[in-house]
Amino acid sequence: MGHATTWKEAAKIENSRYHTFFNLAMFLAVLTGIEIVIIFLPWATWLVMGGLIVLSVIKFFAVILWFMHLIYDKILLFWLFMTGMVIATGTMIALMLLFSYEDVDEEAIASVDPVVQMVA
Amino acid sequence: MATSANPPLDEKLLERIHADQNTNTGIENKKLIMWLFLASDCMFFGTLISTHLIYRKLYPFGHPQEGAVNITGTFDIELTSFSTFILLMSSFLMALAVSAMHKGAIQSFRNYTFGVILFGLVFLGGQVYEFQHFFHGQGWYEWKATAPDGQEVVGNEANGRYFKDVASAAAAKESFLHEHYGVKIESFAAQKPNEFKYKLKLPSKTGGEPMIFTGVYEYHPEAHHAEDGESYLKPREAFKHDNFGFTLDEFKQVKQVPGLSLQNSVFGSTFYVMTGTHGTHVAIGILWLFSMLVFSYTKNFSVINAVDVEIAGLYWHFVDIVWIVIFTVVYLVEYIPSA
Repeated sequence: MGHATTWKEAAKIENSRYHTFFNLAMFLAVLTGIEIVIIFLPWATWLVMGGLIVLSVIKFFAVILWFMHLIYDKILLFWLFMTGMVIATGTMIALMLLFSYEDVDEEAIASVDPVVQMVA
Repeated sequence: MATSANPPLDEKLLERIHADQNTNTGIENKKLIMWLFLASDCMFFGTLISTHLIYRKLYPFGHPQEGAVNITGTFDIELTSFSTFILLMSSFLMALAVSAMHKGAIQSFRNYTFGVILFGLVFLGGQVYEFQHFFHGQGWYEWKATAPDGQEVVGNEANGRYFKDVASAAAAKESFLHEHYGVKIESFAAQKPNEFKYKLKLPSKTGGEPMIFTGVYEYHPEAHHAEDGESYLKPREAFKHDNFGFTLDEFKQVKQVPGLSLQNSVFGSTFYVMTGTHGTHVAIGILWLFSMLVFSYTKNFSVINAVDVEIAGLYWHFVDIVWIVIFTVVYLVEYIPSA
């Protein structure tokens, strides 16, 4: 999509975007429908989880790129937002790994004397 | 006075809003700061979602003291899917509202914005209903009643499922009586004055054959005053009011799952804080768009405010993308066996 130099050109571009937005909205609705269906399919857990993650990422990027105009705007805005996203995703992954259930020694926790624990 | 047509175009103003901005970045400062805010809000929601997921994993049963909570039994995936669809469509309308402002079509902007506000309110209404439903917990009940023809009717956990969202036995009993045991009138016809032949049906909730009851109802108008205290209920209404001659002999709770609250479980705490924070964002978005809508009816509003509409739109779309993540990792994942 070229950059408009006059408002009349911009209006033409906006008119063509109507169809883009409509198609995108329908596409997002279909993806949401697929998400709801696959959770009830007798597939392997990893496949359903993988499917859900991929579909969510597609929906996420479809909204930020087209509805939020990142694909039409200056690239700086895209990287600005991505910086926040990368830090947020990195924090999420780090937290999930740090607090992994497999790392919790339940026996050790259960054996600690509560009084000693309080003093410590 | 507002008109339904778009106002005449102000070409100079339109040229101004489509020109590159006179800033270091060439981007309107308001827009830049909004994107910075959204980037930081990503981190905020990222920590809320991680907290929920971590505690969900560490305390898989939700209610450490009171036993396992059936999370998929508590969730109402049909309602949440509908809310998700509504929020996606509101995002579509928001994109059209911003597009309308860029073309100077103020009336179209108003129409689309009104739609966004309406859809936002539907989403919030769904969330309020959902929270109320979760908070009240679930109960399963057994009941015993005597039909007018002397037959004994028993309802149990399986065929009394539609009371399961009521954890309070007194409230469930009241609702049960209000619904007249779930009995439906098949036919009701006069055979003599004040005597009516009836056929009743009690559908089976387990998919089996329904129970059928037939008999004759004697109508005594003087025993059935209407709400005004002077006129009488009509025979069919009076019959219904008498619970079709059924007598409830027993109504007891056989199983209860306490409602989800902020205090009673880790799952409740993290779930309400996360979805509540998202709901607050939606509410702020609605107020923001409503103020833009009101502002659009004043003399001070013109196409120069297109950038203000755009940043309100960015905020609204952000609320939508956060929900895309929450819907998947908080709701849908619960339905995957052994996830």
